[in-house]
Amino acid sequence: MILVERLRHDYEGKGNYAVDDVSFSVAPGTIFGFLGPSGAGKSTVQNILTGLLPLQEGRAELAGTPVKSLKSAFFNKVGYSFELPNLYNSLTGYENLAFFAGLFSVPTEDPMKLLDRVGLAAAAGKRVAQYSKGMKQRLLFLRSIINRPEILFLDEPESGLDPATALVVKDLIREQRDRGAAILLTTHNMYAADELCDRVAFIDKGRILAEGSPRELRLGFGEKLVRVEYREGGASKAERLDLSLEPGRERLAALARTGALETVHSTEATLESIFIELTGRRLAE
Amino acid sequence: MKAFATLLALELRVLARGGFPVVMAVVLAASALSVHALRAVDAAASVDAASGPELLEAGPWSITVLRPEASSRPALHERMVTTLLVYEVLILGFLFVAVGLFQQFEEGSLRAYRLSPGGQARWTGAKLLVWSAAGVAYGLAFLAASFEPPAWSALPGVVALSALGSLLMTTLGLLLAAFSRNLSQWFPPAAGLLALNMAPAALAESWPEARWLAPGGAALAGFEALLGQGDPALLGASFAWLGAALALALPLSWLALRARAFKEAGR
Repeated sequence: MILVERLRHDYEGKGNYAVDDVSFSVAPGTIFGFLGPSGAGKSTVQNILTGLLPLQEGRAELAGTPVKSLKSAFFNKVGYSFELPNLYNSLTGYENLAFFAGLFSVPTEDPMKLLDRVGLAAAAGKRVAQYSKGMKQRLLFLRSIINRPEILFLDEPESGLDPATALVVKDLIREQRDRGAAILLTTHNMYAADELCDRVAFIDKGRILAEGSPRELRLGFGEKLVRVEYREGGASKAERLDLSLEPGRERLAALARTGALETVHSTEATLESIFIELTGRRLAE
Repeated sequence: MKAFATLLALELRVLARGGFPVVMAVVLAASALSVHALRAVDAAASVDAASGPELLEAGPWSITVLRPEASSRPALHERMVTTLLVYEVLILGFLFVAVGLFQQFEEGSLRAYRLSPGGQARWTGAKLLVWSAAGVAYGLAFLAASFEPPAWSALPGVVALSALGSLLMTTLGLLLAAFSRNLSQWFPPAAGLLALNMAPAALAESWPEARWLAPGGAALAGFEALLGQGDPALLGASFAWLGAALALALPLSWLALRARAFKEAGR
């Protein structure tokens, strides 16, 4: 369980809060997405939770332990995957995982099996300095789950991955969730968040603007319409139909009967469009 | 214990792959050669000295020996051995532990380690142990390569003094490195400290007490005593001085690493 209440952080002590009154919780077996552009305060929250930054104001707990009193042994329960690579470059991929596995006093995964899962088995004996960005990203992710953590912090875990590997990594993240881990996923990739997260929060300028399940948010912010495309008189036409009303449903049925219907799309909001609506700017900015 | 063994293995791997063996092999060869060269100079000088008095007695002059104690001074190459033991062997840890720390800063691996259950104590302990052992091993290799092995009876003392001196200098290396983020920040104060450490050797002729002003001087007194070049009574004082300095440096280094290196690794 990750618990954050009324968290505030001011780097310079001048009243410019990088994180301002942020509250959320992540239950075991849940993936919580923290969505926001660069500089929104995502990493600050994560760094406070991991003890890399001091807790200034508010309450933050990991598995019932206040972050202010985390001892080294507590990190047996935690896994971290950072956006920027922080691996031992003079060690091989296998040695990096084996080294970290050796630091834990809890059962750990077999490094070779993990490397095999993400297609790094062949490069296991290669020094990390020779790895590509995507390979390093995979290795970072594997390192974060080697101790089967109860609490997992993932910072842009899909960054730099090809689509096939990203799918494998997403599967591994879901496995951690299904195992009972509480996962805080920090990202500005709305697609990854939509696919993976049970709940998401939008953060911008240090404040949480909206929070809920991706479905709740999409339904809450989107229009309840469908957009149809059909052919009429040799030309392609489009209409937006409100299926909550009888005329809309009848029109859709009529188009379906004639066989002229070509495409039907819902017009629910995407996480990206919700963010733009809330902040006036894009997630990737 | 498993975590500490893992850290020791890491330090040894990094040491073996970081170019350290090649660098030290070159330095070892150069140092041993310099001792051999000085031995040859000493041998030539002793031949001159042996033949000198006859020539001198042949003339109509008299000779007044100004510093009779000079004739009992160790040969130049023997003094070179003790000097290199102190100012090369013992500072290995001081130099390389800092390089390793900056490498970990740069690659971010210290930040990752910081979020593991490894802890600062094991991390520091592994570094101190590996670099002290490397200092001892290099010192013995240097003595062997210089054909100046200590007497068997002095060997335990040489090993112990090398270990204590290396441990102290490695601790001081961590202490200083904790206040820097990279080699360019670290180099000026490090060069200054090493120069201060060497000062006692330069002052020893005119001011013997100066040896107790820096670790280098204290260690030099100890090695001279062990290798039959100085006052044997100073051996105990040398160990005591270095031990006391270590007792002071260890907590300071610990606090500096916690407040600076481990804290900054999180940023």
